[in-house]
Formats: sequence, structure tokens, C-alpha cells
Amino acid sequence: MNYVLHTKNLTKIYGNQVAVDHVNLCVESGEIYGLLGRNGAGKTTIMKMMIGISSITEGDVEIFGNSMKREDKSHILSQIGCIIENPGFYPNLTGSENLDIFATLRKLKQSDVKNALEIVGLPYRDKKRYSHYSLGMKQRLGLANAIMHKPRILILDEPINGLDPIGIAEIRQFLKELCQSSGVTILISSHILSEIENLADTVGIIHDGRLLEEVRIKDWAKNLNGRIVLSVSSPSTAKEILKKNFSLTDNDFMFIDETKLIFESRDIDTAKITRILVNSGVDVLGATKEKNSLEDYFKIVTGGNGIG
Amino acid sequence: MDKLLICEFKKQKRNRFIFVSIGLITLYLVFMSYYVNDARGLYSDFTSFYKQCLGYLCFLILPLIIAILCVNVFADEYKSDALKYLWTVPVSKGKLVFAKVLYIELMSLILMLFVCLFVIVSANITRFSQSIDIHSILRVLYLCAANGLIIPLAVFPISIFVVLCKGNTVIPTILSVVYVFLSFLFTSPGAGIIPLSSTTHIIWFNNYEGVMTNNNIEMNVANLSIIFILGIVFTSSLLKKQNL
Repeated sequence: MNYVLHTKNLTKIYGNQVAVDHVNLCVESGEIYGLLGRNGAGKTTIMKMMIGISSITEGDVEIFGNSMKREDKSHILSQIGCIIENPGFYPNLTGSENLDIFATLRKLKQSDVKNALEIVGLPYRDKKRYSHYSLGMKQRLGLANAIMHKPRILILDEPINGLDPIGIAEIRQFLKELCQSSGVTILISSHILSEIENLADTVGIIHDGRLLEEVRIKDWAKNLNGRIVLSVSSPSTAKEILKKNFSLTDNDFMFIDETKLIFESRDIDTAKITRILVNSGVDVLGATKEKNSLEDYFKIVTGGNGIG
Repeated sequence: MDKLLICEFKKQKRNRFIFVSIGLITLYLVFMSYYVNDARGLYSDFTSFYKQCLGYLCFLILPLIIAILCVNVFADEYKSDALKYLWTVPVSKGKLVFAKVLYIELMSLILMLFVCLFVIVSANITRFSQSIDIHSILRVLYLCAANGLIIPLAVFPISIFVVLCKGNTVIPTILSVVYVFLSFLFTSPGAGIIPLSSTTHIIWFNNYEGVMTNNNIEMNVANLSIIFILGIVFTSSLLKKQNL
């Protein structure tokens, strides 16, 4: 398979700390790839190495088959648009003036500046300085700068930070359209898992600098194991009965307290569970089958407490 | 390269520091014009007038302004977080450094041409108008242009510390102030050792205004050139190696 963006054993070490540990990301042409991970997982460092603003300790990044380590970066970078951490602009200038600087350096026309601003919903030749912009406006301007030169790859690190719900929906729609109509490949990281779930074709889960899982959203949704939430009089007794009757192991149980028991559904019928528990003398106050969300999946994969 | 230089000017739009600098220089020149004009026994002709006006301005005020400008043009890139986006354009690190050198040089030259104009005009409206001739006007023009072009070369290596501090302005600004005052205090013994001290001896070499200079011009030029080139090389290589 030919990947548009491919990291090969990508590693970054700061002193004694391994920030990124032999990561092999494979991003296909025209897809939206969501990069998930908690704070400090290494997402931003991976993106920084991809665009060459952080050196690579070991491994390589290949973009359109060109090595970022060995080949001329300028040719590769001219095909990439990005937002890394925060949008970076000069506070004393207006949005148009800021974009004008980057347009000059990229040898673009004023019409490109105007077009990019229109796409993200910011006014052209507005008098408001960047220092007076809201966080949402700054993100939009960052996005305008990233798309202004019509790149083939967009690398977006938390691009919806600070946007209001309508703004988030607009950006989501815009990214989807961009991907579908222009065939732009998008690598996006976000803390908002539901957004990634709605947007991405493939998800890579990064934890402690390592890529734990790379799954296609379609496949993941197909093989989705739900969970069953039981409210019972005696969760511990219920757990033992369920283990005995449905061949469940301790690992299948996600949560247990004085009234509640949560475990992987494994296609078990809730009616059957209720009948067996009642027959065994355990009162069942409620039994619901829930679908696993991306957040649940993330928790399972990282063995942690979620993304926040 | 020309695009980078144009962008440097665009980036400084509405920059208060430039306006404050012009205001400071104007205030100084107004004060000096008034003082020199009033001190009848001490200053008799246009030569003594411009010598006095350029004295503190070129030894202290201009180097301080240029040093802080140099700190700001580099620090602004880090503070605004724009540097990483410049690298992804991509912009050549060496060319960016060179564009900033040119910008500082041009700004310094513009400031000094303003000084030149101010000195000539104020001399014309004070008691020194009688002693102005084309030769002395050209001499003032030369001194202002030389100061404007040579002083930034001696100050530019401050950029190394701005890059090392990743845009933190405190340490580089303190170092700049110390550097400028040390150069001023050790103008004579620092010739050929401290680049900013060397500039005085280069600019006023073979002068007839009575400024005491070290006549070993080669040593002073070598000192200034070496430090300036090292400044460019180190700043560029630090930028190339730096992770953002």
C-alpha cells in the first residue's frame, strides 16, 4: 500500500525521556486520520517531526514517498498546511495583513488571501488586530493560513480548540468537504473524541509515545462490543453467577460498586441475564445494553481513565 | 530575499518601539540644539554643533535602540509563535537572518538620516547657520550614514542570545544594556576588542573634529567583521538546530 504520510519507527528522545517511541503511522490518500491521545502522549511531537520543526531522533517520516530526513524539505513542506499547538501570527497586524505576509512568502495572490478568509468565515481587510481576536477567530485564521496555498495534506493539532459548537460543526463540515471534493488528506488530533468519531476514517491511539492501535472507524463500529449495565441488589454475587453461566472472566468486568455492575456484553441477551439472576435470588433493578463509544474504546486500549 | 525583507517591514507595522525611538531621538536633538545654541562660549561653529549632537546619540542612544530593535525582531517571532509557521512555508533560516540584518541596517540608516536632516535644519535656524557649507553638510551626512550602517553590525550578535533564550527578552535586553554601556565606558581601551567600541574608531577615523581615535583601523575593522560574521553564523546555525 502506498501511503501519503507514513512514519517509520519514528522516535523522539528528550534527554532520558522517550517522547515518541517507534511510531508507525500509515495515512492513506484522501482520508481523515484522527490521532488520539491524552495530554503529553506525544501527538504534537509526532506532528512537529512530520513538518520538520522538531528533529527526528530515530526513524523517518515519508510524505508522498519522500523522506523528510534525506530529501529536500521545501518541496515536501509546500504541499502541507498545518496548525500546530496554537496558530502563530503577529499581534500588531490584522488577520488579512498576517495572511498577506505568508501569501507573499508563498508567492500567492491577494485573491488567495481573500478566498481563504471567506472559507473560514473571517472578514477580508478587517481593521481588527490579531491581538484582539477571540480564541475561535484565531483558530479560524490559523486554518485559513493552513489551506491558503491549497495543500495536499493538512496536519491539524487540536484545530477546534476554542470554537463554539456552531464553529465546530462548520469546521467539521468544511474538513469533510475539503477531503471529499479536493482529495486533501487530513491528519487531525483532538481531545474531543466524539468529533474524531464523527470526522475520521481512521483513528490512531497514542499512549506514552507509543501507537497502541490503528483502526478504521468502519471496522471498529462493525465489531463493536457493547456493554451491559446492571443495577442489582448484590453485584458481587451477580458477578460470580455471570462468570459461571456465561463463561466471563474478571477482565470482562469494567466496573463494580455497591449497586452497579458493568461488563462486556459479548452478544449476551439481557433478558436471559435477568432471568438467571432472579432465579438465583439476586434482585435486578435495571438492565441496559449500551454501545461502546470511542471514548470507551480509548479507555480500554489505553487501560486508563479516558482522554481528559 | 526581497520578499523576506518586504515581510520584515510589514511585520513591524504599528510597532510602537519605532515611534518611541523616533520620539526619543527628537527629544534628545531638541534638547541638544537648545543647549549647544545657548552655550555660546563652548560651541562656536557648525562642526562643534553636530559633533555634540552626534556624540551621545551615536555612542549610547542609537546602539541601545538598535540593540533593543534587534532583540525585538527576533523575539517577536518566538512570542507570536509565527516562527514555526515560517519554517513550514518553508523559509530558509539563513535568509531569514540575513533579511533581519538588512531590516535592522535599513531602520538604523533611516533613523540616522532623520538625525542628519534634523541637525542641518536646526543648525540653520540657530546661530550656526553662518558656518554651514556644503563640505560640512556632506561630512554630517557621511557620519550619520556611517553610524547608521556600522553600529548595527556591532550590535547584531545580540541575536545569538535571543535565539538561545527562545525569544525571552529579559536576558538579551540586560546583556544589550551592559554591552552598550561597557562599550561606551571603554571606548578607547576597548578598540579592537569590543566591537561596539571599535565602531567609534572606524567611523571617526582620521577625523578633524577632535575626536580621539585609535589609528589601528585594520584591527578595529577585523574585530567588527569577525564578531558580526560569527553572530550571523551562530544565529543561523542555532535556528537550524533548534526544536520548536
